[in-house]
Amino acid sequence: MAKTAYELSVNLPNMAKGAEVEIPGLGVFKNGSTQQLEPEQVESFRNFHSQLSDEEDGSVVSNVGPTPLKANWPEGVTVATVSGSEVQDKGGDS
Amino acid sequence: MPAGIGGGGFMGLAFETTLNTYTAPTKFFPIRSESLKYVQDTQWRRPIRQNVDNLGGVAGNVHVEGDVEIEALEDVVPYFLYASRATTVKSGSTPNFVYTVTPNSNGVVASGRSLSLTVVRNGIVFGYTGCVVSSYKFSIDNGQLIMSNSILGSDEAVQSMPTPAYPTTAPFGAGQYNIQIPTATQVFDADGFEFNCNDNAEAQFRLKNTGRGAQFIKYGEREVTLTMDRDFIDRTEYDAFKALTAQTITLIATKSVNNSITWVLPVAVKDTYELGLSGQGDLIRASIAYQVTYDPATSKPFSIAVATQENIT
Repeated sequence: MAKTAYELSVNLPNMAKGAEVEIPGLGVFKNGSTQQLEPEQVESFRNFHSQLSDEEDGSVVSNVGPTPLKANWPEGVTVATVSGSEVQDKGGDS
Repeated sequence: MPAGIGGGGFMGLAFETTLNTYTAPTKFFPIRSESLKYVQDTQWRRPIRQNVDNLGGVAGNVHVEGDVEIEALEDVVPYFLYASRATTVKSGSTPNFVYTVTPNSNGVVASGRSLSLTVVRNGIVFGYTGCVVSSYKFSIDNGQLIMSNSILGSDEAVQSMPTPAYPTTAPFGAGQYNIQIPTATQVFDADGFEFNCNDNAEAQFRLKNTGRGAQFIKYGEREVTLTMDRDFIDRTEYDAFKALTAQTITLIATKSVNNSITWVLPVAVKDTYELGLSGQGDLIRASIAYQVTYDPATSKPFSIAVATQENIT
């Protein structure tokens, strides 16, 4: 199963170009940079932002977080799908 | 949602374009703790009508209050100082800026400088609006510089979950301080300090039909103090205390020429000076509390200069 590829651009207007920006779950990026995300990063991001929920049967399950594309980023961080490119899936993401 | 712990939480801020209107966070920062809360002044009904029970609540005014203790990072501190009662002047150019903060006598925070504070606790988003800094304190905890902010705000509502991004700024730590008493004379006998500025803010409520939140936050009298412990060597400082002699004090936390925080107190007067023989093995130290008073020569009680690469607009 193919997996969507994402491209992350970090241009936080309050930070200098080249300054380091840590995005939990994805890693550290240079402000002003654009980078394609590896599948492992996407998986890591979704796992980092996972949340527990109570089920009706009393169990507690972990739900993975949104894909980088659907995350609610601050001004200056953008994520786009890389048109025409896909990477091999290593998990259940789509 | 199952029970959560504090470590999963996070916090962000943004200046508000319109006072009391939520703005999604643009700046995320590490906190040590927060205690923001929604306070309702509910009117509990106790009318006299053959009954001695509480007959229910009538909606009262609401406001937000609590403390936010942050690591005093030079890229975060200016946001809170902007939201305090002060005039902040930005100088420099990309990539190095200096924010010079001078207290003023305004009754309210400047337009565009109130904060929307977003707190995520156990995956639940709380959006606090109309927030200003009522008082703030800089202190040292085991070498690390800390800033504690007392916040007053207007209202709270749920907001959409933000995704944070953090700078990798290192905190100020041991070996990065320069204490000058008086200014230009560095001393090596102090192991900490607490600088407090309290503008005694109060929430103001007005009759309206657009919610129950405070209409604005007004400031009151300002109280500025500095406390520190110093090794007791001779009577010089003690005699200055007895004579109410004013001193200029400068405190500097610095990592580099472009990454520092400098406090300049032109007129600091010792309010109390306490020392004693507390035990056989105890060092004899003086516990000193200063009142920081207005300086007519510079037209201010103090100033804070923050050198950083943060570009705040």
